[in-house]
Amino acid sequence: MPVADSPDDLAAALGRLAAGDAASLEQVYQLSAPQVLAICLRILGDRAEAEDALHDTYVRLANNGSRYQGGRGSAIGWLVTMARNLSIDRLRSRRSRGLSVPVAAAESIPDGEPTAEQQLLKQEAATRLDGCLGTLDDIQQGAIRSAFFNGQTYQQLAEERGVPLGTMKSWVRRGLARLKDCLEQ
Amino acid sequence: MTERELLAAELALRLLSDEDHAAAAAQLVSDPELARLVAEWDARLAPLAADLPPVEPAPTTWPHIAASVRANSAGNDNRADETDALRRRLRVWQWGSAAAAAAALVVGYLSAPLLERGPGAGGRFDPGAPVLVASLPVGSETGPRLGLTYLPRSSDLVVEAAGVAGDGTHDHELWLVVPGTGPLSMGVIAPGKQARVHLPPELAARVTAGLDVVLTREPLGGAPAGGVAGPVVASGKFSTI
Repeated sequence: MPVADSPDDLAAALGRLAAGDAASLEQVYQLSAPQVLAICLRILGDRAEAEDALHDTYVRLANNGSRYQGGRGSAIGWLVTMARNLSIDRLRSRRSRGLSVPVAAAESIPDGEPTAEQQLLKQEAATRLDGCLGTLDDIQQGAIRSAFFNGQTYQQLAEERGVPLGTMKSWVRRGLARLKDCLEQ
Repeated sequence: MTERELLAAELALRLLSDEDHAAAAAQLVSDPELARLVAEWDARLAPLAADLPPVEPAPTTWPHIAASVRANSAGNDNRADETDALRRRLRVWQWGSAAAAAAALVVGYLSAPLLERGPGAGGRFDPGAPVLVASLPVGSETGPRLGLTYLPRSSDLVVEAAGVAGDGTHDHELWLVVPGTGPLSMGVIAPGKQARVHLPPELAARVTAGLDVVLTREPLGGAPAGGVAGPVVASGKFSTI
């Protein structure tokens, strides 16, 4: 399992890519692709489209050069963020073309039940984030998780839970403020 | 938490509607501090994904990526030549002031119906073709705008980019969105400047009223050929005056 054994290797490979060593892209891919594909699949709910988003992520990385800055979060988190944004772009362009995958189908994708191996490998940052999310109200925590994993907007979250848009916004904003306070403690 | 930090969190989580997101994301162009706040939220939230069980990609995915990267890198050499040519034109045509750009517009507009002159260099002259304008709000409807004026007599596009700030790490690229063909690049714009660009005939022939035009944020030098264009930071439509 190449993903989790070497966060430092991944950061180093991204560094070499940034320095112009194009061949290190393959190493970046080998060290990160399964985890990057996981977020693409979680958001898009369709294997073929998730593989396309994975493809776009690494092609963009090769074209734009790595701008990963070590001090700001983990290397895998940085790649996951890029892949998540590209997946959400795809999701929304699909919605605007009227090709929405039903929510039920998207939710059938395996999500949050980590294996024992993953639990062991889970980084300190993730454990801390889980802990802080746990201090929020269920509805705040649920909305933040849905936004992250399903790419849902305020509007969609409000509709799904049958509350006015303004109410959902203030719940989530209060939740985000508390989350930041907790993470900074 | 400040309003800006909340906005940064909303951008990172992608909570806003497409329109609001595009408007807010456009602020990132000229607001590196906001971009930093978004990156901080990205880093805070990304560990959530650690809960997802990894999924092994199909064995064909890496060869496909490697082939796309090779193709782009070959295309980039040609693309660099084209971009250089556009930049040379930009340098040649760069105008000193908004007044000069406005004068070009007035002269182009008034003289078109009066003079039966031939085409401008390289362009096909259609005496009936109207001057077209497009105004692309950058950031918000009331904020700075990218102004485009297309002069069909000369096939020249006057770009007024005074409202667009460069951040030193990105360029902004202007695209015609041609139905059925996809976006066609009109080149990288010079932030904070007015410029006059002569469009080659194949591009000039496509510029019509109602055509969408978008501005994207790209790596320095513009979007890689054949690659994925960057995020749209402003959009508008050509219309007659």
